[in-house]
Amino acid sequence: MPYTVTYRDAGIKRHEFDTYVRLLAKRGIDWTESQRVPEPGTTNRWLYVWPDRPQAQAFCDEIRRETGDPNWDVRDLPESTSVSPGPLMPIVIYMTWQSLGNTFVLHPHSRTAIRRRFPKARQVSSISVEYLTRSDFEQTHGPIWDHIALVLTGLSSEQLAELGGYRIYDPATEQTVYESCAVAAP
Amino acid sequence: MARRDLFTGRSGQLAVMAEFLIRELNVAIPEVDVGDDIVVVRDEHDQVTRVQVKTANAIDRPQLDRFYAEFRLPMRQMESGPPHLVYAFAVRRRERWEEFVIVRRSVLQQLRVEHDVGSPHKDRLTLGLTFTREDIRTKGVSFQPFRSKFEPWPPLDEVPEGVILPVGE
Repeated sequence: MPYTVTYRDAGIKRHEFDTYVRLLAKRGIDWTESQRVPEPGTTNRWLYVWPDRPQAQAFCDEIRRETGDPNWDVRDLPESTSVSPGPLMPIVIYMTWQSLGNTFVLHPHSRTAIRRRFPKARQVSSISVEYLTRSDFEQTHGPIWDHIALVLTGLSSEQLAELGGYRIYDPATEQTVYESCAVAAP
Repeated sequence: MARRDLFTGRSGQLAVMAEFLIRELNVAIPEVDVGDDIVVVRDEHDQVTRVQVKTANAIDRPQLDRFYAEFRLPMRQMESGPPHLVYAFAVRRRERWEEFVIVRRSVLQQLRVEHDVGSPHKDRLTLGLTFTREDIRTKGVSFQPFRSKFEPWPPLDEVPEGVILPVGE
């Protein structure tokens, strides 16, 4: 029977999910291409599927210790659960607000994921777009997000799709601004 | 903030500025404090870099031939501050500014997320560094590559070699 480790309330918080991914990576698990099920209560985020209970329990114990939170549990998945291979989250792009425009940077896990899967990709450290430039562009060509994602990651659209697409996230408001291919958990 | 801390902070800021000047990098203090303590200007390129100075007094452990210093950073700035911001950590020991650690914000954030560097508490991140003659350690990561790393300027947006240690070291 497969198992997941998940938070008692639906939707793991952002910092805790970072810890979740870090601890998987520490165990040598490639979270960009792993067996997964959709995380309940979220869009386009997934949980790693453990093949047996002892491994799942060991991971659960570790993440409880690391987060200081006992509300992590091992869950049994019914045999009928549809497990699929793929990344646990899309590429995450942080969007911050400056006086003249927005600045876009990759989340640290996303930088590493790109480097691991596509070592020749030419990432850039940040992109800044003035408000007027963005507005001019969007009036003529529509949303600017794809352009930003392609330049920032150095990937093609197909490579980005292979990594689960991308999400533009505003850490100040803790809101997702845009998601390229949102998949909601059932 | 306590009066003593204000004076220590400004003293550390001036010490960091002196280190830039001796390397022929021009510096300025912004007229209005909006979170950057110093701006560094590379004249030949008109390139401006924002620097945030953090200061700490060393806690000596002479019997172990090491000392420790602790810095507090605002979590929000760590996560979503200017991408090119650089932290300059200055340590005061034996009545002088003895150590400087220079890390780009994006690199520190990478180490925080991927290697659990620093300890978050509410809206602050505490970074504790243990100094020996040969190394600077925190949570199994070496900060030695950042020691007095004023050059090249500005620092690269990559975790340098030697920071991530082999497992068990």
